[in-house]
Amino acid sequence: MKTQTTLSKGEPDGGASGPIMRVRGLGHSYGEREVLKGLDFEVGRGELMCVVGPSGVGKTTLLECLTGLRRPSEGEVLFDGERIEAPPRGLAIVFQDYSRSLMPWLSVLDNVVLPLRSAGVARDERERTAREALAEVGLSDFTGHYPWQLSGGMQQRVAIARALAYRPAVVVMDEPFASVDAQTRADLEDLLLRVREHLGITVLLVTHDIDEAVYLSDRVLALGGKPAGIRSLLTVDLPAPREQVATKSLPRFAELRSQVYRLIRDV
Amino acid sequence: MTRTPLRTAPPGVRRLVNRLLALLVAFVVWHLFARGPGSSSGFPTPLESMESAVDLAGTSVYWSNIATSVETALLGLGLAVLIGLPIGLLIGADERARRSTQLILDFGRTVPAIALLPLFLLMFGATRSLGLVLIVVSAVWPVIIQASYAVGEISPQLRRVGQAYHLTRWHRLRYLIAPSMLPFVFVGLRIAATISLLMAISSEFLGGSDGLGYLLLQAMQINDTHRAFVYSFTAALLGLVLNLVFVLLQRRVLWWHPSVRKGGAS
Amino acid sequence: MSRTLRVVTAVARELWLPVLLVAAWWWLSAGSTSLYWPPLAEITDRFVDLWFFEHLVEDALPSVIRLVSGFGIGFAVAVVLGLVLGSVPALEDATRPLVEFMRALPSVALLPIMMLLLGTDDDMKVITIAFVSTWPILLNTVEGVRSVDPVLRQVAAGYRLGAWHRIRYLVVPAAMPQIFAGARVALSMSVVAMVLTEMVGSPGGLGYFVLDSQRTFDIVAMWTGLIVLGLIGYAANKTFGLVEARVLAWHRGHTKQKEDQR
Repeated sequence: MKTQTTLSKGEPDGGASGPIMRVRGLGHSYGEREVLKGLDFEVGRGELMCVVGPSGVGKTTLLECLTGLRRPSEGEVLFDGERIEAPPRGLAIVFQDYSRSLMPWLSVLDNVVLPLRSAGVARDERERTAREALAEVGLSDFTGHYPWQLSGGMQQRVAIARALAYRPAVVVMDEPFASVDAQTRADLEDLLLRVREHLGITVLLVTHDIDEAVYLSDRVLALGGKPAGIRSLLTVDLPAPREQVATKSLPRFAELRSQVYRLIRDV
Repeated sequence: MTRTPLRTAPPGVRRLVNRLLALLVAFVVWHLFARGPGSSSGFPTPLESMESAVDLAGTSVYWSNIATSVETALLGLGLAVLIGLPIGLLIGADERARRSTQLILDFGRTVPAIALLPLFLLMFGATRSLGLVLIVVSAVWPVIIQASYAVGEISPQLRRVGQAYHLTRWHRLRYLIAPSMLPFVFVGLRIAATISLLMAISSEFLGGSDGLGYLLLQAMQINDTHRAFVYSFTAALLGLVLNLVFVLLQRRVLWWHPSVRKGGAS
Repeated sequence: MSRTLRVVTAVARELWLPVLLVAAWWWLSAGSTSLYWPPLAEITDRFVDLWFFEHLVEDALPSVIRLVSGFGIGFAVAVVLGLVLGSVPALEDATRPLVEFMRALPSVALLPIMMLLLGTDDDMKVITIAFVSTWPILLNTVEGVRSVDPVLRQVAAGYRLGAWHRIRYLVVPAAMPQIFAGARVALSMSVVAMVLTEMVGSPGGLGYFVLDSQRTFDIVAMWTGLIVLGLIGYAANKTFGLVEARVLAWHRGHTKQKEDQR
């Protein structure tokens, strides 16, 4: 399918058109308890979409259904036109808990290489790709370290590099910056924006933080209710490039923020 | 097939059925082995073993010898704890003591004390003291080592809590120190208990005049394989019971500890 | 200069008591006429005679080979079986009573059965050692496989790791700390089984040497055998510790970081 040997900007599959992900009538229940109901939305190619909702609303369940880690009890998710049964090749996941999602027995480089190894990428190539991905997140000097020798923010950057090296069409992130301190968090957000700009990947990011969602997104999908459904899908018309201080002091930012806040709070 | 009712059965029942099935498979394999390749060496079938077990269970010799072995094991264990616990606590309380004894403890726990049996046999003859000494020499190490770890496991934060709230000395011991140490001491006790049983039976087997190990030796010497099997199984069952007793004790005493709360104690 | 001094004091702190004890033994046993406690000087003299190199080659080496091969077989069988049982919970649950029973079986009670089936030669000795070491490692491997972090399982699924890569890079390393904990228990049980089988089995080996020396009332020789056994047990444990430190270097770093975070 893909022949580029580097992490380059471009359409993942030769410029096919239409949304990369399509969610139709998605619902999920654990036994009697209904968590998600009647979700319909699409994620466009190259888009950065945040799913935002209060804690416990079922964001993680949604993420698991979207990535094929969990089979939804209703509806379906299409990835590039194909129904998702298991995690597809063109999709990479970044988990919330960096300290648990990296393998402590593998070096930073090996953590990034492992998925490529399993995908059958040749030795030279997978190493080069992994090093490029690590350079992309600014960790070139730490390839030989072990995850537990790094700070939390650096560990999460390794996880992001692992996702990038996998050369996915879509990166799905589950509260990726929730367990780091505020400064690191801002750095990582900007890193994400930069990388996404540079590589042209689609990002679907789940968060409970409204500021983060508005700051990062092209569109925000607000989740609420019990069972959770889509409250609204609103376009974030903030100018690019985004900048932590300037963007967040725009009046429009405040407007959008309170709009989302009301959406997920009011029932 | 008959799978449908089983699948809808409550998990407890299903589990029991599975376990019984596994046991049945084991018995069938054993039976086939005893009839086939094992028949030339007099390997008894499960049924034959059960018959001899029933026969033996009706004799007082069988039970009194079991009692002897259990008594020796428990007495030895008690002695090992009485000796090991204070030593372990003393060593654990002092960094210098810990360092100075490191090598001795390492040595003591790995040296197979069973090899001392010939020496003890000379000194004590075929008496209960033989078993007791052997048990103490081998089971005292895990008690010492775990007790010394235990002292280091009392968290400084809890100590500070004790100071901040002016707990009395007795309350500190009762509510802070003892509960923090107990999980570790327990690990040592369990290891020591297993060793005690092994050493009790070994000493009877290699140089005793009664007990389960002695019965085992006799059966072997007169080539009574059926009885030898029953004795071996008895020894394993004793081990299981001992283990079970410890699991239950642990649940009672350490109900608050994560290893017990998760229900994963075994 | 001060560094060497520090090393010397560190070593001295660990060694003074053992050295003192040996010295006390030497001094107290000097001139002893007790049958059981011959002078240490006499023991060391005989030690050199006996163990360099006649009995080292004839008794100690075969013992070590049996120990290493028995323990090795047990380890391999246990890890493979443990991976299977750990991945199939229903099977593991069904066989648990059997496995617990096997583990509870004291090695000495195993001897009659093993001797009945395998005689008194090397086969019996090695297989008994292997049998004894299998169960603690097996139970720990199962525990280790089960304790693989669910997040890492999701990572493996999300990045489509194949079965082999999952075992090689996820399950086995994650279970390794538990496997080693079981193996440490198994190792000391193996050493006991080695001595036991040699005491009851065909002539040869350290266990036999010690028991035979006692039977012929050559107590000094018996003491030298005990010392050799002690050294071998200690060396086995130390070697194991070194391997463990290498294989589990990541584990120490990982847990340390977690503790620091708390």
